Amino acid sequence: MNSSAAAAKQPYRPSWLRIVLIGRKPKNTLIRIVVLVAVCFVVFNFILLPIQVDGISMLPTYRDGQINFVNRLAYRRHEPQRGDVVSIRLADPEVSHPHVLYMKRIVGLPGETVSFVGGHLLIDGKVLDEPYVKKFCDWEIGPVKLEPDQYFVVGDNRSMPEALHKKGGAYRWQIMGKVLL
Amino acid sequence: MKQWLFRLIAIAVLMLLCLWIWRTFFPSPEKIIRNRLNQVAKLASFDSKEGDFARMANVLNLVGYFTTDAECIFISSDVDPWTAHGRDDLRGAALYARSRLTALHVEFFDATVVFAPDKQTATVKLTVRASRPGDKDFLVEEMKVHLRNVSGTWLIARAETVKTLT
Repeated sequence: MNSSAAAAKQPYRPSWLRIVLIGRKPKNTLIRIVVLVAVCFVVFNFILLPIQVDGISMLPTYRDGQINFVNRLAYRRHEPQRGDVVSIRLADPEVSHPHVLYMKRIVGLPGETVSFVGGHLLIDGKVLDEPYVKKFCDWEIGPVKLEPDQYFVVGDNRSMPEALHKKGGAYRWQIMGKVLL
Repeated sequence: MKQWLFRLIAIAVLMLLCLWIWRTFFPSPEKIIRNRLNQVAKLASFDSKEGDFARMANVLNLVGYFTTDAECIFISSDVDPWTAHGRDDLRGAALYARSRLTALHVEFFDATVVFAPDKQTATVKLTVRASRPGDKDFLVEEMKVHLRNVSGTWLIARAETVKTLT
């Protein structure tokens, strides 16, 4: 048997670069890519919404510029709980993927009365223990009675002046999901 | 078979091209409003490189997007509240902002447009984000903008902030 006949009988071996780039079986690689893109599209649009923290209102729990995800399915089986960090939509419910969201912690549940006295958060007149708050404040906010579908949300950074800190009642429809990490 | 497929693809491409041309030259009122709001955001933004002539031209151009009796109410925890009634007030506010700040970047997000039954007025809900380049501070507010069709041109008749957290 001569050498050219032996080479013809050897199976075709793609180069290592080609293997790295498109795999041994390009058709299978293409199918994998399509599936991966589809899965990423569904996951990052409808289940885990990627967000970037912008601002200091959630310090020290979340730093400015930090990347996180919002679990949009978190409240399908149960309602939001006290202590949950949630994302709140500013836009109309029609907008399925808002570009700007508030990130706040739920401290008051529907029907409760929330107030700040001497910087302490009071729920129905009782002081709420907040281990996530590291810097205390002197905020004075009169009692706010929450509606049946309203949650009181506030950031963890209480060292900010009260007037500059976005907080208040958010309706259930405004809560898009729970912050994952 | 191949010729038949080629013709089908060609017809589809032609139809898409026609649709694109139609939409470009005859945009829907919603598209017109969205484009105008993008222009407003662009004209409200400025940087330190803006010369005196450009500043005046941009401010006058910006004011032209509002009706003569336009009303603006801006209440935010981040800045002092201000109201403006009419184009003169708006011009003054735009010039004041340019004199106080070196730069400002205004963006509108997540706009939804709802037309009144007579199609002569529209309400737009949107999120405004204003920031100074290089500065960590920024402003985010929800806004409601009412527009009126004045002789075929959509002009802002009223713009007000909406309190997101009540």
